[in-house]
Amino acid sequence: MSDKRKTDKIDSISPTKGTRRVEPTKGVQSVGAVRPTSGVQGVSRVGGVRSAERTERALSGAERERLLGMIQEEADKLFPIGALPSAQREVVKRAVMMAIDAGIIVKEKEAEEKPPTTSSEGVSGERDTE
Amino acid sequence: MLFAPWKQFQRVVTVGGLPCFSDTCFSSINSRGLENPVVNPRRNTEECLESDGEDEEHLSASTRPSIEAANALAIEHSGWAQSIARSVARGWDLDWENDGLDGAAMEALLYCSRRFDETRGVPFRGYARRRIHEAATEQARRSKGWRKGGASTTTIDDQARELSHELLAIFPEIRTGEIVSEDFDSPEGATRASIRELLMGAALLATKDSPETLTLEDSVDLKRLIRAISGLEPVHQIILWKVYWEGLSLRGLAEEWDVDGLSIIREHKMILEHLCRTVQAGKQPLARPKIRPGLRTLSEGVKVKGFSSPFSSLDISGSSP
Repeated sequence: MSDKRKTDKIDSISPTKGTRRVEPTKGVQSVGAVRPTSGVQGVSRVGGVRSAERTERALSGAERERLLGMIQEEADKLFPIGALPSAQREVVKRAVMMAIDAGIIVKEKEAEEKPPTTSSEGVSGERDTE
Repeated sequence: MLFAPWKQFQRVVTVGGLPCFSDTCFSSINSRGLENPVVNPRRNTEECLESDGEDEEHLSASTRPSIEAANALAIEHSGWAQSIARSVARGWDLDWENDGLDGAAMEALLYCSRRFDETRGVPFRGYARRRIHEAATEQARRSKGWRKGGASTTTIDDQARELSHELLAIFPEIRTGEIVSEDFDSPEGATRASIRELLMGAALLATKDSPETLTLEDSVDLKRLIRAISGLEPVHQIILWKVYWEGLSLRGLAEEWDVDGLSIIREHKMILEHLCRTVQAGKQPLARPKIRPGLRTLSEGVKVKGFSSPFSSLDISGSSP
């Protein structure tokens, strides 16, 4: 049984056009000389964070107590039993409490914040130095 | 010698109803060595780096405050300076008047009022607080109350007082109350982080001063901390050794190594944070902190030369009780 399907015959192939002349590349023009930098300008001094500009903060008595309690908590967390000799743990905790307590200003009565008046002239301190 | 600074202060300022400190008042202060009222060998942090040298070098005749302005500043802030002296006395259980802290604070206040340069845009209290605090603490150290051990006489309190003074030298930000930040109640806030660093710093100082006769149990505990230090990068170990064992300031160390002071300060902070985590983690080893770019060259140099940990030479051997 012959295949009756018709196939589209290719009649002809058009000839490939010839390649035209490749144009020659042009010569690379001379590269300009790299000019030396005239020196990088130094970075001007960074002023740093002006910690002196921070606000003064006086703690209330209750805040001070909370702060000291916080030191106790952190010491217990950081140095559980076995992390530091027991005597040293107590010294370390007390030292941090003393240092922080000596550095914070606690709100006092307004009267005490004012400069001493003439009535307080009787209060004097004996300077105990070596 | 009776010394009543507030009394003297009041007498001087009320002459003629106007504030009028005489030059003799200040010259007497200067003659007592207050050109630099506080000598602290370990002033070493960012704040020192920011402010050191600014007093004399930048204070030209044109920016020096007038006597009247200086007196007004001193009067205005005298109560505040008293508060600082009282804080120091409270922290160390001293008498702020009998131990002379009031006078030292007043002298520092006068010194600062004479040298304050408002054109630099720094508020007076920000400029003067650390200086007044330093003056008060140095006076406290020289006072009879300190030598007697304050109101308390326990050994622990005496040791803690000495240790806290060393802490102030390593962490001067305590002097200006910077430890307390606004996130006061936050469980992971900056205040608690600062407290942990202080505790670790104090633990290192206490380890250095640990008694020669340790119990076996105590020596085991101490060895744990030393082992954590020995696991650090060599350059980090050297930082700890120089600052806590040799007493060199962070700033002095930066000068010795010819590196930026802030690099050392930040490295130090990072080391303490790592030690805190290590101690809390117990036996679980943690990756040691990386060296910041500012110290990498130095670190390479240390490794090339060969490094033997100074902490390996520490003799922490306990004995059975």
